[in-house]
Amino acid sequence: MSLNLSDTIGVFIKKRKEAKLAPLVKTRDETIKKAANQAEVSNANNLYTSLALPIEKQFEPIEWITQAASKAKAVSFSTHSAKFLNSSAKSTGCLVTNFDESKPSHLITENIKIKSIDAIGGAGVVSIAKLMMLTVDGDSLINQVKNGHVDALKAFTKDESLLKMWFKGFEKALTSDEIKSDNLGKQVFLPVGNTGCDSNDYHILCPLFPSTLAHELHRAVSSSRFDEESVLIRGARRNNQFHEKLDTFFPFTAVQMFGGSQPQNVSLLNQERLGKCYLLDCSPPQVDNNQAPPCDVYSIFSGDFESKASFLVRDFRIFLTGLTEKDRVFKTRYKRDYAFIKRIIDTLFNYVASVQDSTKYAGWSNDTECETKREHALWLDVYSPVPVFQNERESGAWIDVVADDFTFWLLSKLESEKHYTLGKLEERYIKKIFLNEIKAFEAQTPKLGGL
Amino acid sequence: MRSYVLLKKINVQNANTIAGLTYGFPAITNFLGFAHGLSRKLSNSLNVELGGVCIISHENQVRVVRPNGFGDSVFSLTRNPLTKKAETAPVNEEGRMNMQVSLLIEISGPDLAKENMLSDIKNKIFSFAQRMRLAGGQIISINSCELLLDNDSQKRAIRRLSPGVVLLDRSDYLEEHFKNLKKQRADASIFDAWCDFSKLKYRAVPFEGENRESKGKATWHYIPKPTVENPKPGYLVPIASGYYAVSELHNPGEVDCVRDKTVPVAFAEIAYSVGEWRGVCCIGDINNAVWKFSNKHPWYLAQTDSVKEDVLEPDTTVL
Repeated sequence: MSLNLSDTIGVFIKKRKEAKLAPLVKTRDETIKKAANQAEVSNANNLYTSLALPIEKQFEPIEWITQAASKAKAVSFSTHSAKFLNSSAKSTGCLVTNFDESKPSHLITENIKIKSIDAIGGAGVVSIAKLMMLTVDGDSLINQVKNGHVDALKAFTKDESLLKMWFKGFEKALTSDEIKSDNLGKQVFLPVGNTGCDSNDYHILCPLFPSTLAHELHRAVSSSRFDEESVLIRGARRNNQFHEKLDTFFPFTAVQMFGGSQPQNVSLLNQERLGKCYLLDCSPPQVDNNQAPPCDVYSIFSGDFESKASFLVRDFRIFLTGLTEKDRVFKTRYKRDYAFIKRIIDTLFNYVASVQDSTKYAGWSNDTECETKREHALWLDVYSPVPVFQNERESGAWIDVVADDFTFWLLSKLESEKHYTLGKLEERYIKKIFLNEIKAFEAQTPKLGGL
Repeated sequence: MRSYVLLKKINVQNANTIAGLTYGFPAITNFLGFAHGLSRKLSNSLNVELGGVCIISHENQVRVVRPNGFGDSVFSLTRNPLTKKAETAPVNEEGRMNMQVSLLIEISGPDLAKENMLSDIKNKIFSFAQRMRLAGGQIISINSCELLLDNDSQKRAIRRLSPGVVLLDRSDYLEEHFKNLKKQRADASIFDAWCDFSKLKYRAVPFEGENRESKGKATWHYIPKPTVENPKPGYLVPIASGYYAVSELHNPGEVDCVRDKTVPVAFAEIAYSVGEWRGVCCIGDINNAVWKFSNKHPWYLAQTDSVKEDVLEPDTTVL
């Protein structure tokens, strides 16, 4: 038999009472076990009764709910709060209940269908917050109070005036008297006008911490790591066994702690998260400055550059493998190919610029131990002081060779005979793109003795 | 033909690395605010105005540590003076990073047309910028400040910004991916679509001749972002790209404890989207990579003008 909301509340209050009585029960039972005679047993029982009586009285449902209703104004239910930004901030929070997906290009709290409501108020009011958040079949005290009644509590009393008092008390948890920010919270001026010289040209925004969204993210990260099913899938991947579901995980997460050793002082959801908030990585890829020249490899495409571009090449290969026969025709495909090829070339130029910039290695291609192919060295060693080298560089004949080498390298990396073939069409297209890009790149490359 | 001012290789110390639920690079609104603040400072003495910003990252070093060598990173915090009771004071955690960025800021105004004013403009911008803070961090040094008034100087400057990566707006990817997900599953949410640009996913493919049954032999293959059916090329990251107001816009004076009682106030949360880091040589027209504010209650977003990249056509004999 499933419980309704009233019964759940009753059970909740009873459980709290039992938790409070537990130590007394333990002491009494221990004394009875060690008792020598009947007198001691009855003494222990009497002691227990006298100590338990005030607790029983306190947790009698009507009494407890009245106490809770009177303290409820110290609780604040919100989806956004400033308490996370600074633990002493007394700014009002915001409770967002809409569900809206009208602007899918940006993620906000309104996009979450079932929001976890957070409760702020400190450790003393945690039990009241939990009482109001008890949910049975989608209904909870919070919902009922929002709709203007406390029907779930009718099971405990018939007194209308008492019910009204309870309603008024619990209502205070959902509203706040005054709206205010705090000098400890963040406040940002954002320009909305044109000139920015008039005070009407700005709005002040007080950004609040989105506890609900953070809770969703925490749930997503935790379930991808610790859920039974996720653990099974990961085990299958480790053992190279089949599983029909995907193995997913969030890489490079960071953790921000709120509340230190007392996470319940910040908010209820924070306590559930154990104070942790997961953050996702948005940092740029590592760009090396003043890279050492690739003296000990023959082709620049097989050195450091290859590892930097590997993720792009991998994605390109997976893209080509996943195409249907219709989409695989070059005529329909070349525009999407261009996006991949161009990005690989961008990464290549970043690497090349880094090597070209390192003036302290100038003239490295002249070294007898240098194994780099002549045309590649001509591209990279911009500041070489050797006049013959500079003349050869100026002539530009090496550009065609480098273009051929790049095309050959890319095609060999993308080779996957089982799934598709890349032929003359692709070869000519890749070379065309590369020549186009390298000419624009070299037109602006600094020269020895120039700027 | 737009003009830009290039603040080249700004070394910033202790910038704020946490942007809402992301970390690793400051939110874009920081840079837009910097340009706006600089513009206000200039307006006293010069007749120029600064607009949107293009952000190029050269170096970044986030102050995080992985305690076990693997798993979650935690932020390196400052050690502060002890309390009266000789105990460590409780601390609100902050994330810090050192970074080297270059900014290309749109500049316009009648003073730009006057030859004799140009060096004055350049010097003033350079001097004001060095005294400001960027993303909550101190500016240690700026390499140089240049005015780029024509196409040639802009191309030249971009070449010399290499090696570096530029941040581009890819909120259209998020929108497209959400719509595709919704076709497959009615209960898909924008949050799921956003997470797909951050998660790593692997799928099992059974060996030749093996059935699709559990414990059968299989190889696991990486799935590119966001899905294998529609992979998007590039280094895609989730970013914080503006604010969304969660309360109504209050009239000036209604809200207590605000910095200015003559300005309308709203409570807001950070809006998240997707961005791409690309090598700086990809910038053809700088305007494709410039972030601007588009502020209209309740959306206060940083966006770039949406532009389609020109695709190089193959030789006509081929098609």
